[in-house]
Amino acid sequence: MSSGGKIEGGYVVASMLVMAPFAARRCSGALSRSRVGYDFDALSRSVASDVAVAILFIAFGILVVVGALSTRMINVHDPLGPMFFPVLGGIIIVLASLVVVAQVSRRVEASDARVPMPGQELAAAALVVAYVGVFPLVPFVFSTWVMLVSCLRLAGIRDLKVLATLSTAATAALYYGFAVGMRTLLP
Amino acid sequence: VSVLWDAVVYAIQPNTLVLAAAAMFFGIIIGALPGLGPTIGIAMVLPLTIFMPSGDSITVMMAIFVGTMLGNGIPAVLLRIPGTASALLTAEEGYIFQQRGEGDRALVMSFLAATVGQALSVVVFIIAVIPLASIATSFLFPELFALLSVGLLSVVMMTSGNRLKGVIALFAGLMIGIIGLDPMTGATRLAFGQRDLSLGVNTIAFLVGILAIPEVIAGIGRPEPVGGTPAKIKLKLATVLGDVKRTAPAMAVGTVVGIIIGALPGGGATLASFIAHQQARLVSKEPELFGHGSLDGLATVDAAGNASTSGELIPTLALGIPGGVTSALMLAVLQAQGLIPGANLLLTSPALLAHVFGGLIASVVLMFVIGLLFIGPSVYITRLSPRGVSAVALVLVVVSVYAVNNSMFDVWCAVVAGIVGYVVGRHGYPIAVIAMAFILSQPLEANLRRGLVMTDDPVAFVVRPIVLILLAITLLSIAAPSLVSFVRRRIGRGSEGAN
Repeated sequence: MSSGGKIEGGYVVASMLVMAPFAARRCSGALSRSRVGYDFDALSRSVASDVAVAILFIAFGILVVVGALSTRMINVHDPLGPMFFPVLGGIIIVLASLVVVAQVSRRVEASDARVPMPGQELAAAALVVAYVGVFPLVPFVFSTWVMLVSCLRLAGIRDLKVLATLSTAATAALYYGFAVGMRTLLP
Repeated sequence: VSVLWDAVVYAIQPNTLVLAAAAMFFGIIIGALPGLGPTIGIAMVLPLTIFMPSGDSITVMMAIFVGTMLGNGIPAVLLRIPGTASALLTAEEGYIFQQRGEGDRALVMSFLAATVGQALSVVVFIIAVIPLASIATSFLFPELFALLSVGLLSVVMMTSGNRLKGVIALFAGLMIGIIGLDPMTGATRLAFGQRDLSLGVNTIAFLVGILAIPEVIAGIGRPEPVGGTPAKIKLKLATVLGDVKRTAPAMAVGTVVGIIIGALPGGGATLASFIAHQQARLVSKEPELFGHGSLDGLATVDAAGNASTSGELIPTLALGIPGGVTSALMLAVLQAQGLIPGANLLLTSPALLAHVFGGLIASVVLMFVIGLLFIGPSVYITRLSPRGVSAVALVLVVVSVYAVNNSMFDVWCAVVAGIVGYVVGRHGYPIAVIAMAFILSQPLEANLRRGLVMTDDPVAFVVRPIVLILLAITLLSIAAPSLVSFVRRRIGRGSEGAN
């Protein structure tokens, strides 16, 4: 991709940063409205979510075992070898996660998942991913200022003057702290 | 003695005092904001401390730790909002005083008990750490493996909720920690052909990601606390001295419990404060007041929580086993500076030891001075928006991780670790266990394999006195909860039969 394309892509993602808190609010509003029509059982949702996370760990365990088995062997006097520890760990993760799936499926009260996740927290996670995505593509001062405005807006600060002042001050502090103080090569 | 002298010289240097004072102010502000605790406070400055000399970095982290613990008590007493879980009982006991119009009395008691707990635990740390490290130097690979196993398992056993999830978190942390070069053969493991992964996941990036990002994300979504009326400090010296005299036994109990629980891997300030609260009731002249605005209860909880911070440092520096998440972050900084934390480092680097002692001494002195001067105005910190601070912290964390190596790969590692940590944390998987297993994974595996090469026989590996004792402790700690519930069931059935 050309540098022009990169910068253009960066500004598109940067604009997503600004919009994310507003989108999150609209999304959470829509979700709460949908609950009127569809009566989801909170307990079964937490169980499903718990099972999904356990499946994530099962996949991770399998990935570890597969990755460990492809380790290149080197002839050194070593009774266990480089594969033993990851294979053992991967198998334990898979087996323990299967037991968690069985436990949660059998006894719904065993689930200690806290769902649904608040819209603001999801939006904060999305914002940080978007910020890191644009970080190397656009100037630091711009991406950071936009990110701070978005985060502070998400955190409930409504006053535009306060938003602008806080974001500008924090961006300046970060820039001088890192680029000047620590001589970090910021984009 | 020469180390102690060097420590005092280091502690009174203007550079040390300015660093520690700045860190402590920062810690008090973070601690006073509901929901933000020492982990996030240290994680925010972690990448900056890497570039400092080792002694200074430990001093800064220790001062933040102490400052956050001190700051925690402010919203707990004034607003009944514990900054972190360790201040839950401070809120229970202290807020009743605030309702009675004696908030200043509770706030001063909380501060004095915290200072006493901290000061005494520093003395114990200075006395205990060298003998413990000297014992640990006689440990060979099998003993070190057994010691690390005990440490990790005790962290899992102390987690609340489903222990199986603790086991999964433990092995997940271990597996992420061994990504990269194998310590024995140099073969690349679990890198899946990715060049960036072949040297492993960056310790600072992973720890900052998994510990700080979930906290700040949750902080942004947490409802803003409803502010109360801050108390004005209008106490007479005689009242303060009378309260200190009255609560001295409770403070002593809190300090002892705090040091012991803090030194256990996975113990921490929360557990210490709860156990101390129970124990202090036994020595109190007014046990009926516990939970209903007891000065003894307040004093013991704050003494225990603060004493546990130096207690945590004992296994961290003497054995290389972090006592908790905060000390795991300290180990990560030492590792990032190219040092191998543990007994050998401590005993072969008297300068580092003197700086650690000096940093702790400076922290305690500053805690008293800053606390004394700052306790009045500190009530206004509670008017800051924790959500706004979390929002700024989110950006700071990302930029800090980038600043360590100017590496976007590290930043992505931190973000992925943070988001996965946030999701699994919400489902009851203990993030602290993942972090501690990650940091101990390489020494654990290396000591196991080197020990087996050394002994050339698995039986000879196990049949060593210290290994047997440590493995017995491990097995006992695994079996104890099941045994206790089995015995309770039997007793219950027996009494039902008798009835």
